[in-house]
Amino acid sequence: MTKKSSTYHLFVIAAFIGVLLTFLVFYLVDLGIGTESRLVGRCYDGSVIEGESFLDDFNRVVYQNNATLSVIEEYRYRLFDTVNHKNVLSGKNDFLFEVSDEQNGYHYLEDYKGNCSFSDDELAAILNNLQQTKASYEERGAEFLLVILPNAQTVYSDYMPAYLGDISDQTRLDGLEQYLRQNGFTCFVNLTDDLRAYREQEHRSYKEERLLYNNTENSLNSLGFYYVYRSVYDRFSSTVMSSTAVLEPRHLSFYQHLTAGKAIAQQAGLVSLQNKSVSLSKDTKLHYRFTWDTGLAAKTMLLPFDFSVNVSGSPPLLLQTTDSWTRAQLEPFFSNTFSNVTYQTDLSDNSEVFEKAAPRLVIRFVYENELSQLLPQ
Amino acid sequence: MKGKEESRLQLTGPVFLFLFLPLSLPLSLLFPKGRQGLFLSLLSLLWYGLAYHGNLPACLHIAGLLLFAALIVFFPGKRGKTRTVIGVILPLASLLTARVLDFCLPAYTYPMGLGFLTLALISLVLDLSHGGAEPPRNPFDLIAYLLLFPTLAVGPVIRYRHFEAMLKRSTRSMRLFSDGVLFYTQGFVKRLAVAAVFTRSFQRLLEEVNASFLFLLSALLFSLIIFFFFLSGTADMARGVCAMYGLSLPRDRQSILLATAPHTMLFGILFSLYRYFDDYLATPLRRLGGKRGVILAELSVWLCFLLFIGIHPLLLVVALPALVCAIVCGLRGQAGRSHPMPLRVLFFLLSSMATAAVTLALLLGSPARVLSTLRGMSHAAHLPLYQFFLALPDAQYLLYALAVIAALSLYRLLSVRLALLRSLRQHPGALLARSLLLLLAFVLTALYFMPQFPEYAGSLAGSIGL
Repeated sequence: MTKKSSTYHLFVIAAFIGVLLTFLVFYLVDLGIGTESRLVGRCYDGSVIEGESFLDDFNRVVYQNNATLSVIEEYRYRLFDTVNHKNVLSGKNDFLFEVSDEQNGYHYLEDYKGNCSFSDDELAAILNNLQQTKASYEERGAEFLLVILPNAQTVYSDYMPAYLGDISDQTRLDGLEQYLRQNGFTCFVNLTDDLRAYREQEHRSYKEERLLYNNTENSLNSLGFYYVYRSVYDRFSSTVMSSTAVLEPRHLSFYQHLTAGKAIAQQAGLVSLQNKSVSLSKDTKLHYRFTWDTGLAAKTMLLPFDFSVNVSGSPPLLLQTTDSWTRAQLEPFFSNTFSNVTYQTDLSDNSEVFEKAAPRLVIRFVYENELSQLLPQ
Repeated sequence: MKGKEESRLQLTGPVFLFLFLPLSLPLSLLFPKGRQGLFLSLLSLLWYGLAYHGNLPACLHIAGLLLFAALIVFFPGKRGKTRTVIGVILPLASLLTARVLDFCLPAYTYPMGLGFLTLALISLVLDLSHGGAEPPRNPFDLIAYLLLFPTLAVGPVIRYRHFEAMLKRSTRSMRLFSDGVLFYTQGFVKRLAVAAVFTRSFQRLLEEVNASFLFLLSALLFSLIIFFFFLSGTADMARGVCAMYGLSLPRDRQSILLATAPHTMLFGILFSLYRYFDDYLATPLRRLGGKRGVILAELSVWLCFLLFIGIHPLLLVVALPALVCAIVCGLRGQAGRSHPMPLRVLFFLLSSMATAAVTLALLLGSPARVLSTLRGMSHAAHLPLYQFFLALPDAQYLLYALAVIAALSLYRLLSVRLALLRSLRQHPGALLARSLLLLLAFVLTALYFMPQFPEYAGSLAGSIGL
């Protein structure tokens, strides 16, 4: 018994000393090698270890160690669904969601719970603004269409954390849609139902579901934008449809791939969390060319000899987007379909651009989190 | 940042764990068996110097107290009442001054461990004056007692006569060392994997929520858990480190799971502090006799205990249930243990709530903050549950931790009652399994939790105000 207990005590002591020495060697090696690439700027709680003494350096190597903190972020997320960032929420199926968009003064979660609706005055102002815009374009012979692109939180609301419950049916977008319809304004499209339907279709058709949004950035991917294009195209008249050749999935080549974690994952220190993206293949044929590009706006023209497009039936389009990235995503689809497409990277009624574009239809794309941009500026 | 110095060498810190401890342990072997006091004193001086070399006023304050202690102990002459009175009043005055300066002067850094050093010095003076112990053999033994660094943060409070006996008995053995390892790892896990995470969540609750009934319930529960695990974890670590150095400290707490009165639960968490005041304050007062003596004794212990751990005088009202129970039990004799089980469970729950109110007041700190928290609650509309979860990113981990705590508590309670479980706990296989689990938990805590808390592990000591 005494011999056995001595062995037990020896084992405990050896294990403890072994653990301490292992950690010591690991951190001393890090300290000895150098600190530039192995340290991050702050500790896990955001504080900084100050001081230049050996003890301060040693503390820094432990508390600001890049490798250790990355492992902690990853396992804190994987084991406990916890993200070390106030503006990032951990959802299901490796989805990360933003909590708020400070630039646009928008709070995703509050809107998700229906606490973020426009006031009556704001709704009236938006309606008035849209009616004026529509009238202004109609005077110049163009129709106007507002296309609202929903948040990832809206289309993939079932991936939001369980404690948030179901998405409210009184979100800001729902409220705006109801108000516009009640007041007879129908020149707009809310793509929420369309994208949800396409998502469901993807889920049924493919063994491994192809996402429409980047799971670590909450932005639409190429497949998502393709479905945006299809949703808009399917609302054109039969004349337009007969005069143009819609891009079917067989015309395009999408491929699913994994990339390093995008913007939201990087914010949360979860770069190792892979982003499941669907991109348009780089060998997709572009049957159009640019006729002019001023930076703010650019125009494309369909090359006439590759597609049997009745140019006279294909209306010139002016697509307004809030950023150049959205324009770049829409361009392969719209420019490969319509004879003349002008892209404007802001939502203003720019007469110079309008004159150059000479559109029959102005399509304004606005994201759900940017609906406040519809208010009069 | 304030508190930076003590965070550098706290027992949960990497500098202590991976540098100081591994380097000092072999050094202890160089000192012969009877020179433990010399080794501990040099080590404690080194530790304090490394931790506080940037804070000259603190070092001077501590050095002054050590010099004063040496004068009191070694100055030739009779140990009369004058020497005893000076030996008690001067350290208390220095402690009070430090507390006032800390409150009034933002630039002043309160020397960590001053409270426990003061208690130790007073204990030394009183034990020597009563003839309950022999004077230290040399200044090193004196410094080893006053500045025993593992106990400076949150105790345990060691009375001089007990330390004298421990020092005489001190030995180096594999058994003591391995016990020390297990105590230390247990305390490390309690401090970082439980107390620190709950502290972080508690502070998030205060910042983000501060309203609703659910907030109050969580705040009470969290504060009790933080208080218990922080104090018991630190005491375990202190016990573990001292055992590794050859000194066997006594257990510092009573089982709060068996407590059925608020005062036994509250005092049981920092039992050595309670016994200290009971020994030196309450016992002489009880000798006055009758109800007056009992009431004065219980009142003095209650007051000193709470003011020492940091409850603001205006907040003593939250601890009145503990005082009332202490007085009632004192007048009746020992608190009855013969209640039927349902009643004991009810008393346990009520005591927990009463103790939680005290710990919550302790963590909130000033009366202004307590009032603003209560005001926020009274004005709060119904707070949606999701906002509560949003405020607590660690919610899932906290639930797991609570489940484990509940399971272990139940196991502990059952093993007290059931002989079979008790004998099973002593089985060599069970001992080995427990040790392995503890070591694994220690490794995971060092890898996963320690880097998350560069400040937390030390900040709570500041809020407890020792």
